[in-house]
Amino acid sequence: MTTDSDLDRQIQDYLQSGPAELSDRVLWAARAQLKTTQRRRARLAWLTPWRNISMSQSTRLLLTAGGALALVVAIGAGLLGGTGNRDTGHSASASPLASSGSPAIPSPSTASSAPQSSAFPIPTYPAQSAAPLTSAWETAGGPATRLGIPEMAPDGRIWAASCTDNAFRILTPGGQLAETWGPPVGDAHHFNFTLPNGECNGAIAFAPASGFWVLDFGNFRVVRFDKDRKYLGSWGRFGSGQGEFSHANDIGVDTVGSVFVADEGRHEIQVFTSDGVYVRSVAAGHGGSFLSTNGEGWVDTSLLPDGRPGLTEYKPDGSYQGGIDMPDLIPRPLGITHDGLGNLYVVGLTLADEPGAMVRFKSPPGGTQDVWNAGGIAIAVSSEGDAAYVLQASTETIAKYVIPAP
Amino acid sequence: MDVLLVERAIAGDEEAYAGLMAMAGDRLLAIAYRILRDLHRAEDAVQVALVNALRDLPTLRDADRFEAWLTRILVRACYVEADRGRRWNANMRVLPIDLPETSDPTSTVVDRDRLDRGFRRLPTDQRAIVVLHHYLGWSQPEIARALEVPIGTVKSRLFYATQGLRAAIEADDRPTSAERPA
Repeated sequence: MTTDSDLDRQIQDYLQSGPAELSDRVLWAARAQLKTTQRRRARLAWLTPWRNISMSQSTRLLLTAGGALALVVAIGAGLLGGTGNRDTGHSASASPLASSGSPAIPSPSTASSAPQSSAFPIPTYPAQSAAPLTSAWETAGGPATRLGIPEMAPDGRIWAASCTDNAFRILTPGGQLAETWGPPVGDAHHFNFTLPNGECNGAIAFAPASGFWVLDFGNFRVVRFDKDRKYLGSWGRFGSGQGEFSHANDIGVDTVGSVFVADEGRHEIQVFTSDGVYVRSVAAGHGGSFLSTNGEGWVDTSLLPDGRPGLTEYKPDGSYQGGIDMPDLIPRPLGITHDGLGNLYVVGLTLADEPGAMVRFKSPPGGTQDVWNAGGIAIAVSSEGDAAYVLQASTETIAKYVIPAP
Repeated sequence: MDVLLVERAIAGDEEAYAGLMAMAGDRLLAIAYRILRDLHRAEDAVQVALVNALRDLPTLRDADRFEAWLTRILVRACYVEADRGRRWNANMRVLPIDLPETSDPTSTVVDRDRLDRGFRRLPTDQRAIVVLHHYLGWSQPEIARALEVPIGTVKSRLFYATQGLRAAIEADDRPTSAERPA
């Protein structure tokens, strides 16, 4: 029997040997990669004032001092003339939320027209405890299934791409596997949800009246179907041109049928008509990997304009609305979605890849947000906002949470 | 670590950051190698960590925490690198290593080989805790703070890692069924 101290000594001895020094080649490669990164950052030079001000810290102090949320809003309203909200008639001074549910953020006019001179910070979400929330069930999409981003269909069932067989797993709200669907192997429209490097993902967006769009992750394309699952067309290929994809991760559709595709490789969100005609790019140079649109064309994404993880919102015309940093609750926001009431939900992971919180930004603004301990890497919610389906970090299971009424 | 150098790097001084990279490189490689047990993958993880560190440097609020902060970034890079390795290795069949029965009479070497096999079988998150605790000599609370995980997580990972390593060492010492007394 090995004693504890003997075992500790053996482990320490075992860990003693190793390489002496880092090769210059690695340092050289890191520097070369940094240069590339810096060139990309140079395109975001208008954000320099934000970077140079340690506003996260000062904002945190303000916020934790109590009553500071109102102060931030008041400052924001004062600096920005109170024009920073969505066009819903809600006053910015009532809450740090924009009318969509986003926190206090610069006005569209100021942010888009004079960012070079603006030192307005990205607010930091106040540190707080997440309320407990227990999952109603947790289920896999079948044996050894690796799942993509879940989405709720108009009939209330949950669809999630499976990288195991490149088809969708369709779950009932009760967690039962109802169906597996996808164009069969050999079909020209057969999905591929895995990149050559093994990375797995896939996403889908539903429009109640006009069918759905599948982000065919590994084929670098979007495939459109009608509500009877009849193939209508597809667009996209690998590339950097308009309508091409390099690492598209997420897809959304608004009520007029505009299709939004978040591309991690291109660092932007491309907007298309429902049949794939390129319209414009949003968040060019700093688009996040994931997105959600509220149906009216407002789009939220998982990257702050200065390159840090966070939540950023853009107006329907593509101009910047604002953002928020959530280092204490969701250091890495990954899953973003809206319910049918306009509430915005965000989940993600901590820096240690543990589940972070789930935050619900309520709409219309003026109320408080909700924070629960129900993190994960992707999320779908019911249109009524009473249930959330969160893809767990393992990508193998989806957990259902019953959401308390706002 | 030179705090002034860190503060200059946070302020955007590229020369200061290059200096930090050079100073921290060896230590990062030492940690990454011990977690991943593969020099090339450890170098890849260090490279990723150095790039990510520069990207996230503006978010570092306390220059005194630079070393722990950088270690956390490295450990995360090791997780990713190990995961990439798992994907590549998914179709590889692991063959048992046949140790020469009498080629090395010293039990230390045999134990070391057993330990090595046991360590390689541990999940990456457990390996990281073992390295930070036994190689860097960090206490469990220090590890929890550095990795931003609950102390209970550190304790449990260390417990299960230690259990796994103990089992690896003692497994071959247990009598086979043929050797057991009737």
